[in-house]
Amino acid sequence: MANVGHVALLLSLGLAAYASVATFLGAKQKLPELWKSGRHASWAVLAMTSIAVVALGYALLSHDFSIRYVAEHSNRDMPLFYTLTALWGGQAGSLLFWAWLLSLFSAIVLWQHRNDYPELMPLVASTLMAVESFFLIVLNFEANPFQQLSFLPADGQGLNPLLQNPGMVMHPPTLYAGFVGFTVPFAFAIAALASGRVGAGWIRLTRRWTLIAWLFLSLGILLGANWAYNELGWGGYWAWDPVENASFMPWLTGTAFLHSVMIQEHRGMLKVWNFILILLTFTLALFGTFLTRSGVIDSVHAFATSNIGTYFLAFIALVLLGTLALLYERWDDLKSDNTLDSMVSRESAFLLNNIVFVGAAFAVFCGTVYPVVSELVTGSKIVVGPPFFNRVEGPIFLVMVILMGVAPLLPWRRASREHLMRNFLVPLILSLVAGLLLTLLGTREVWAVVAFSVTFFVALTILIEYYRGTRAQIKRSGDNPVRALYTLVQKNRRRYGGYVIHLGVVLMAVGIVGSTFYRVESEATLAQGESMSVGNYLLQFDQFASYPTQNMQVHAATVTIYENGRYLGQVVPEKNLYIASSQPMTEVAIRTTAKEDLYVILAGWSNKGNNVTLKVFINPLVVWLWIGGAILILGTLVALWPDPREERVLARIRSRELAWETVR
Amino acid sequence: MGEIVKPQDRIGPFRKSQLKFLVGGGIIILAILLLIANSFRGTGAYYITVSELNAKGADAIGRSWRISGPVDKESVQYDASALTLKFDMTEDGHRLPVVYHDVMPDLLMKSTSVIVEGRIDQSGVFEASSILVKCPSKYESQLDAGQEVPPDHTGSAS
Repeated sequence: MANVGHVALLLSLGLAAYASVATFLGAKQKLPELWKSGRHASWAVLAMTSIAVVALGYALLSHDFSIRYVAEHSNRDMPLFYTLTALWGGQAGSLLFWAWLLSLFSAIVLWQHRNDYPELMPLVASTLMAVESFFLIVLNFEANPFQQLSFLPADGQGLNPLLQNPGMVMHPPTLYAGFVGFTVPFAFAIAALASGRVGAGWIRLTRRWTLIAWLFLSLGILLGANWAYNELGWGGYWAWDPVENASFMPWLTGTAFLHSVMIQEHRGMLKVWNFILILLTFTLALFGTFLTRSGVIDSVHAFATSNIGTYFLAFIALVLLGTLALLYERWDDLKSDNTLDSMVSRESAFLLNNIVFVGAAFAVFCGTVYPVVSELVTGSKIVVGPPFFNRVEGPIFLVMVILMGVAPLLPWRRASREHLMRNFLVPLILSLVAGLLLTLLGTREVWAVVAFSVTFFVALTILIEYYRGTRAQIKRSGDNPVRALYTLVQKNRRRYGGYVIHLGVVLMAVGIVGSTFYRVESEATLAQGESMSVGNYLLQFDQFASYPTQNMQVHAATVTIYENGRYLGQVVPEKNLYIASSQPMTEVAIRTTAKEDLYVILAGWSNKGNNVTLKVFINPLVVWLWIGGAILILGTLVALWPDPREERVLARIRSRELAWETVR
Repeated sequence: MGEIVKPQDRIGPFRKSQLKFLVGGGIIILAILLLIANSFRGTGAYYITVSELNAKGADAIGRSWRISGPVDKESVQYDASALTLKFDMTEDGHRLPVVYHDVMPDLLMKSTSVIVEGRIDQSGVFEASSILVKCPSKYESQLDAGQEVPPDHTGSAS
């Protein structure tokens, strides 16, 4: 199998390099045959990388421990499911997975548009295949998953028990799909610049790809946070770890891009800026890989360090310089069609949104690379942790949320005073009242009151938008409300899907604010029958059990919970010892309600389990973070769903393109 | 695209009407930069090794540090009932006693090194507020050296 893999990877590289050059020459020399040949070669790349993936999967399943990757990432005891997911569990495998995904996405794009845009598509193909070649170079020469060992180990090392969890299995591939997805709009951007067709066409054509990439990236981040919360047992879901930051930065710039393109589509402005945003998003996705693989920054994610960091850094530099040079070349074609009219308009709100999102990404970037930079500049390494990020990002996120409420209701060009009054007066007054109520009810933290009032305000404006739209639809068609709402969304999925996403973000904000400001923490050592009180809860330690299972020794404490004297039920926090790896693993017991999570950790035991130590968190409103996340994903799906109106626009671009072709 | 701009409507390369946006945008960018700079000042911790910390002697007392180094596994004591973890970090004959008042990280005994963040007290004991556990890396360790490398999240933080 190793040989099959080696050959497949080498052929993939040869084909991808050929495809990149052939399509480029095809575009340059106006040779349709070369474009066709390059296109076919890129489909062959998909076939070859697929063979490599299957070969690695087969090697894993057949426990071929002569292959280093297999020996390091699986063993005979692992369940079939986790053995297969070891495919992306390690560095070389994840790079292979990445290359395969990119070849898949490329093949789909080039199939979709095999007959359209003869000026643009060869250059898109060339860019995609150039990126693919880069990954294949790394795979062939630096991180080859088929590298063989000089001896045959009896068994492999297996996968860390922490990672043998369904959430963790899906987290990496969703993130990769997000990162890889952004390559598609990036390739269209490069093609647009190189061909000089710098209108909004490339943006419209890639809108769905951008959204898909964004969907996967969001999902990946959410899955990671959820896994950390449920499995890691420190009571939180986000630690501003460099690797988390690495996925968050492209998410921020990608989100800015999703918003910013609307200005270009509607008003023909911010053309240069949109190119820069997609460039940033793509390079930040690469930078994330560099960061985690090069070992320049310490992280709880103890990845193997290797030389691939150098490859990535060189490639990032190439991409940045190349794109900026192209931008410089096209500078004169990139003038805005319009200028800004008023400070209070949707354009300027979008502009502010852009600054804030990129500013947030920049702040994350600063905090993440600060140790490296400070060492270079001052000679001593200075690190910043969660307090830094919370302090910087807190206010920035607050502005983002406010904008989310305000911007969608502002008209293009200029907002009149009447317009502002009509749209904002009622929500503003109601949220001030809500803030006042919160204060009267005993909320003392100023920022919490502000944050809750703001989320309330935003939720109101969104719901009012839905209400107005539905009412207008009822008037127009006389439908019943449900049907009218459906038609409304149906007619403008992009807009109303976007509102759903905003609503999801509002709920997430509620969860984050609640769990950040009102977290309660307590710990106690209890003898059997004793109890501790945390908040309104009373936790009574009933019994301790220790028993072996197939692969671990379970230590479990049974704890009965009462709330204000009322019996709620039992939870069983555990600390289990994996026998093979002699690694302990904490299993948190979480009792979730809409109001708060009771998070119980078995910290230790003594006296043969007659005494246990419990660490308990009350994390208010956390469940809304997950519910909001689910709504965000749902909203993205609504916005993604094929929209007849959009299809018509695309058809128009296409026909214009053809007309343009015939005129020439 | 094509409206003509008179010279008197321009300031440098910009139109007068656009000036307020440049100023407004500039102010916001400046605010974000100030926020970043200001937050660095309050939250940064120097990242040094055990021997470097020892070399500082009494100067080290009272400031925030982030120290990396291997754990002397023999010295690890965990009193679960008091939630107190004590261990020594060692490096080239230098020792640093560390105390941590929280749940012992699952992977501590498997670690190659740890990163602790906190302050040092008068008696030379390091009060850790967080421990980050680093696990052996597969490319550094020999295949038979034991623990497989987690390709993703490993230790517990904070």
